[in-house]
Amino acid sequence: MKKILMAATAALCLIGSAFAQENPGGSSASSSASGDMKKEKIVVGVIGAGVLAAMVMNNRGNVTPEPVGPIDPVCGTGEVLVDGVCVPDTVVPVCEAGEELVDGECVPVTTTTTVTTTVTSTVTNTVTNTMTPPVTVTATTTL
Amino acid sequence: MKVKTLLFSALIATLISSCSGTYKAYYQTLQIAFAEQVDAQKTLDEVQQSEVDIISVKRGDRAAAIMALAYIENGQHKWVSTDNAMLIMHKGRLIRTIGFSDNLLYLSNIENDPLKLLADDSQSSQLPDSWLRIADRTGDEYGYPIKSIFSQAKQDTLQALNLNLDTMYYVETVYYDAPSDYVRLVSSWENHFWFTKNGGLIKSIQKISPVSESLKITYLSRIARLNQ
Repeated sequence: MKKILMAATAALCLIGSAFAQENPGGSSASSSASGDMKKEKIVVGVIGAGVLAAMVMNNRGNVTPEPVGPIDPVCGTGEVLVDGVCVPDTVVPVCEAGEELVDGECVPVTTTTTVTTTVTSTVTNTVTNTMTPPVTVTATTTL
Repeated sequence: MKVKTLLFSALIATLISSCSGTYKAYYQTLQIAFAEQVDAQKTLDEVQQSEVDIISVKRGDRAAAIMALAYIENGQHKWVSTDNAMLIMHKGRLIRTIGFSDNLLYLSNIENDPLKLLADDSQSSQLPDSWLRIADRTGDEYGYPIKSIFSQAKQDTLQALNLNLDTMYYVETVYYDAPSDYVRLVSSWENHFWFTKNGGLIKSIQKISPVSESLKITYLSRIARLNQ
């Protein structure tokens, strides 16, 4: 009787343990797994359309480049960029006293003086002639 | 003959030389698109020798993958895949998924899940008329009331690991009770469960929403233990 009970108990344990004895693998459990669960489905039609579109686009070969704005030139030594053009870098000199700036250079100051003179003179001419009558005198005085 | 061969070789070489790397890329893309998906499979012997419990999971039309049992915590079985997806189940019911594009975040009222009764053959006749719970899913879909109605058990023979298994087969018809936040034409679906005669769940087909892909889960290690 005891043997029967023990055997029945053992059998019941085995039946119950079929699902009770589950073995978790912890953090390394994924090494016992295989295959991908998250792999997204590839829609063949979409792939085909994509490849076709890519082929068409690639074979066109007339891609319009984007407009490029004006590129500023690189100026050399002694030049500066003014409105996109390189011009000589001019340094305005500081003139000393008695000088003035003319065309970027210091030159002596020139003074123009206008002098107006009035001359008054008296001219006396003595004319002595020996004349034989009839005498005709013609005189012209020019100052 | 030699001249012809040379000419033909030159023609082939010319044609091949005109192939650019772009066309190679097209070819490789198409190769991936049309590559045959192969199911991950295990033999009975391999399953019996596995130190960790494993299940076979087929998600939608994808190839089947093998997932391994990582933890049993608070009565919840946590199964992981090689690409770090996780299925969390309570008495065989999917109560949470992690790592997919569409995940089940929360399921309420799992303590009254009729699957618990189905696992106990003596109580399977006491199935409630329906089971209500609330589900949260990704995509801002929260608080969906869901109602389930179980069919009466049918006897079915299941084939797995080259074994024929006598099972009790149940169909759970699931209804979304509330209108969806988004346009949706389908509001119900069916889950399927196969139990052994002594109440062990060995296979199920479940969905987490009407628009989700089905998960066909076969408990390989449990089936292998039945054969010991």
